Amino acid sequence: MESTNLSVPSEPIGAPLGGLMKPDAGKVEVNGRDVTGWSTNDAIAAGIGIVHQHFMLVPTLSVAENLVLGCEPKARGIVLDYDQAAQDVRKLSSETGLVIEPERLISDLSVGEAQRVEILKVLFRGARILVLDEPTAVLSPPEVRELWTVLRRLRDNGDTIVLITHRLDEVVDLSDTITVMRAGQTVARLKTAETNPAEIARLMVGREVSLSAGKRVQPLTRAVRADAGKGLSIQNLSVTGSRGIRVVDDVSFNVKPGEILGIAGVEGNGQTELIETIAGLRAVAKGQISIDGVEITRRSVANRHDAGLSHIPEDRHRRGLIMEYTVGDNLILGLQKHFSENGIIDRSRVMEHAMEEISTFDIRPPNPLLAARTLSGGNQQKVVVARRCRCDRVHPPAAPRRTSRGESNPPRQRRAQ
Amino acid sequence: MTASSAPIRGQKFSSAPPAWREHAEEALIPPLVALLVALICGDLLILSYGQSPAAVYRLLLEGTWGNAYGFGQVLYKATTLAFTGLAVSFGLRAGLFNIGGESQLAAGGFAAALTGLALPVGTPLILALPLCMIAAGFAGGVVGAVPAYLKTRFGAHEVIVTIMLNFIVLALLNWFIAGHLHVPETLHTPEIHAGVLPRLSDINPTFHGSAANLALIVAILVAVAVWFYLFRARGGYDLRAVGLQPDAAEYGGISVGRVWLRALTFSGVIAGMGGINYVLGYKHYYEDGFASGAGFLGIAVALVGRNHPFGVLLAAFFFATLSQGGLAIHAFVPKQMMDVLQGVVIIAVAMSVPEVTRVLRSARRRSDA
Repeated sequence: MESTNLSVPSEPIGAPLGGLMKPDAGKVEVNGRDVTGWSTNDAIAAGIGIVHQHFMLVPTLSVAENLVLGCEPKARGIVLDYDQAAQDVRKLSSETGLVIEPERLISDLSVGEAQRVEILKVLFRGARILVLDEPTAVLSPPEVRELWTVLRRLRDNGDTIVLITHRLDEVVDLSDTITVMRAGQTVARLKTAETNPAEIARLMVGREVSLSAGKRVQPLTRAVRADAGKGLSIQNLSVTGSRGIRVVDDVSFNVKPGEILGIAGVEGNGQTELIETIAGLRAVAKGQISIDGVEITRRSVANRHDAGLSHIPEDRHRRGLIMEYTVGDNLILGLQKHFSENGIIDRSRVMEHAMEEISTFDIRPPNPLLAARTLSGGNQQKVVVARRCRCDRVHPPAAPRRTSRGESNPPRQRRAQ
Repeated sequence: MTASSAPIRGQKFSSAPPAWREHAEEALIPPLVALLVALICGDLLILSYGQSPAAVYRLLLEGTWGNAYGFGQVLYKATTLAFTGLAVSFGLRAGLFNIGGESQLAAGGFAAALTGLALPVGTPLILALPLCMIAAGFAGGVVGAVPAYLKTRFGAHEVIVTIMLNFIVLALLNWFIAGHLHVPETLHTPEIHAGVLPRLSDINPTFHGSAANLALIVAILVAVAVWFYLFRARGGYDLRAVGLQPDAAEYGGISVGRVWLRALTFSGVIAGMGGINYVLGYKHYYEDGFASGAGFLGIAVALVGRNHPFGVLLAAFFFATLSQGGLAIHAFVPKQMMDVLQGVVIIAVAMSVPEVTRVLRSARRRSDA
């Protein structure tokens, strides 16, 4: 962040558009007290609660156990008092309207419920200032409405809420004041009642934007080549998830050559599993996957790759790149076979290939010998995208937006300029 | 997506320091810092015995690198440690902790001795050595393959299985020797008929009396082969990928289970081949308990050598020096001081690697900015 001034009076819901980190300069005050340079514990003590975008819960513990983690009620000084904990949780639950059974295990909760626990957790620690980082990214519309009701109720109780989001409708819907941030700097402070989405969008981007462009459903103008049996075909696919639950249930679709298929839905409803199954990273419980009429249901990842399938994973850090490998080595991941002879990797061809892809995809810095870890997120994503089979035709990318948060990803950037 | 910038082909890389220098710094500086810490601890220990650190260290150097016999003993000890260290580091590169070096080494030595006994007297070394090595590697490989199979098939943790296999294999070997194969009144086999490796003293008489033998050359060749496999072969690319990020490796079409199987089995093969140093090079028979901790010390060697084959060679040499040096200074301070020092080095490396790496990286970022 550059210089950002953010002041939120007690009660109103304020919505800054950006993130939070330790300050290099400037100061942070809570209720007039200078709290610059504090730790997370200080923040909790001062009544600030952060609800992270990615949940920080222990999946094997119950709701009540998660809530009291770090400040457990104790009977006779040593024994954890579960009943007291459950009772405390129920009381807080009814006060706030965040209804949840304290005995349930976190791993059994839906995403929306888990988020309720996150909010309860910070309230349980006595937070009066609530910071929510992109809370709606994982929620379905009814869950979002529920969340709004709870947040309004908290505000009416006198709590301060800082909502970090990039969705204009949410900002306008819920907030009382808005702080717009761009490139780490505060560019405007507005009263929600006196502004409109177009103005906020202009401040966010720095110039006029047409808000309707992205929303219209484009009619299909190109003729899709009707090659029968060509492309990717999924028949009655079912997948069992890690906890033995059916996560993909009897899904069928066809994607023809020259076609892009979008899969809509709230995160955590089987999309990841579907994509991973198509890519060959998960076992199929039932059904068929075929490319150009050739069945690949039981084939290995490498085999599917050769059949023309390439997969851009949702999680770049875990699956997409080997962080300690050089850019050049990462660019041949999955293509090792084509870059080696008699089991020996041809280094000069690897370098040649790397230079080619670096220039085609404008990967910076243009040095194939740097570890992937040293690249910026956007450039790491370019490496992932660049690495595809030369013969491939089917790409299932999972949630591409999430992969470069805080940094516009290359295609979007181009559209915006 | 199309290229928007000027073509890079033919143009020199960016002005950033070359990646290999970064690598070399991160590989070498942490162990050196650890060594420094260990030296300071050693000073304090020696002082606590009322001796002069300078005098004791001088004695240590004279007794190890200072004369041909001492140096030969260091090389002999380093040879076994190089094998077991390479074995552990090979597994670690695939993300697997092979604690079974001790029993793999013993099984390898046993197989080498059996082969040497089975061959007719007078079999030329050029034939006997490869046969004995294959036997040693095979025996170690079998011991390594068991945990590998149990891991890939049933998900059994390799640390538990390799530790437990140590007991089973060593007990089995003891039973073989004590019950069937020993020379009366001893716990060792008869002398082998073929496959005896020349000692360094046969080539250069100044090494007279020391056990150093040509297995040293074999160890260096194995290190080179491991280096080539890890960093030049496709199998090594896959193996390191699995060790660094198994999920990414799987995504890249690498069969993680198959890599595990290969890595642990070959880790056992390398440890097993270490058995030739004692059996073919030194005693010319298999003796119960000859491994005497060299398999376990391989873990420390791999750690200090930062899992790089050449680093492992250096670390093996270092640990062998400490162990031989303990004998040289025994008159002034107990030789167990060297065991303490070994422990200090291991802990110091374990601590300094993440810490020093972090400092190096943040310093680099500052100089970039």
